[in-house]
Amino acid sequence: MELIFKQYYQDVFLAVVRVVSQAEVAEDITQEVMFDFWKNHRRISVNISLRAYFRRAGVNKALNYIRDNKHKWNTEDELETEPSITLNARELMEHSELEQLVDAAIDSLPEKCRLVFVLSRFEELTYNEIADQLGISPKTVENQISKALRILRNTLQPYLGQRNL
Amino acid sequence: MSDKLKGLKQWLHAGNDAQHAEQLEELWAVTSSYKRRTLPNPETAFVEFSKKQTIGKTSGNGGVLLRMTMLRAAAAVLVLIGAGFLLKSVFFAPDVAMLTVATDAQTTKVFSLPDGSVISLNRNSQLIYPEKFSGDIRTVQLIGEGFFEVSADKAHPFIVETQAGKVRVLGTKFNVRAFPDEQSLEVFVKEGRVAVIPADGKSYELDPGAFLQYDQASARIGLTRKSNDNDLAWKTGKLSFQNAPVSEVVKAVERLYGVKATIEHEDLANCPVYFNVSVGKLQDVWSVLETTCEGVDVEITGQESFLIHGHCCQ
Repeated sequence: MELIFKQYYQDVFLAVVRVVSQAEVAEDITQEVMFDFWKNHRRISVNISLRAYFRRAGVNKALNYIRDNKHKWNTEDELETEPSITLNARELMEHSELEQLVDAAIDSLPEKCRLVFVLSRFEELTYNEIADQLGISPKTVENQISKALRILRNTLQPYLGQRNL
Repeated sequence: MSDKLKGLKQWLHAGNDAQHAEQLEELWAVTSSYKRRTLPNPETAFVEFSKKQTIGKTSGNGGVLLRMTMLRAAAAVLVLIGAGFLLKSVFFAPDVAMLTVATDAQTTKVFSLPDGSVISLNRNSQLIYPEKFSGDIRTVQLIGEGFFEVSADKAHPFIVETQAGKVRVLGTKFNVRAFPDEQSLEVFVKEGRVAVIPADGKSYELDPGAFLQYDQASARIGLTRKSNDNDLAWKTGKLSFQNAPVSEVVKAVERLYGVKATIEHEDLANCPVYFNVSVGKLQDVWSVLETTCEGVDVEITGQESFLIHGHCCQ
């Protein structure tokens, strides 16, 4: 178990933290995923790669957590004002600071918007799959994606221009 | 841009964003680091994990909790020290990657290791081993059950590590079973001698034909006996009972299929039976048992539990 744990812990954590956004919560959920695996190992049949299995287990648990703690979603979300983050050109020089900036930009998206974005970007779910998972319509997913992209593009605009691909 | 990025493709098709394709690609690339810097250290996380396992197991018994926790913590430290050695040998040997072979609930696998040893892996099991053995010791990690035919190399002992302890050999044929949910380490030997070193740190030498079971929760040897062919049924595909009590049939079935079966009447438990059966569907094994003795009936009482009715007919 120890080797498995160490091999996949970070993968699971990353998948989970991207969904729930708080590192502390994500650590708890990741521990739970590993514990479940340890406890039920013999009853779990892994037909995909173990890595994919763990990621999926993590995302499912994270979504359950979000569901159970569904707070301000339904009404407030639509009224929320779009966030703005001030970019400092000097900060962009440092790679780690860029990472912080990306984190901050995504974290400050309205909650539903952020969740839809994350599932699309990192889990590469289709709009229909996201709609199923979150119990919203595919049209809403599409709208939220557009919204997320618009906000992120605005926030990260100065950086996008300078980047050499 | 890779075709694999199905998410990005969706973005590009998201109506009003079509004209900003280039920016979207950049956005896709830039966001790849999201939350990456919050990654925790798996070593620390594992210590945390070991503690939680303890709490989960002993919470019903407050009196021993503290003592158990301390023992577990001590064990965890030992495990970590052990892992340190392992990691060292992995990291300092260039080009050595760890490989994993895993089986699902339906299949078993037979494969060989870089040293020529042949491993048969039972269902729901995993073996982790280095791409290339280096250093003085050949070490592999097992989760679940496997039969090892280790190629002889006196200069390089072969060690199978499990969560409940390890098995050390020079070159022999033996079986190791250590499913995490069973909290147990079982070893039996076909050929040669092996040393079983459970998590309690003691060492037990096994000769051919010996079967040893170590119980992780009580940290004790639970059972020693002669091994029989049915112990290896997962690999041979055969169960054979010659004058064996029904209770033994049940034990073998429970072990093999990971189910629970209860015998209703004691006289049936002690009832000797004779039959051979190929290991396939569990239902087939029950059918054969039912036909060996009229009046015996196996009732399904749950997804993985059975009740055996009837009396001995001998």
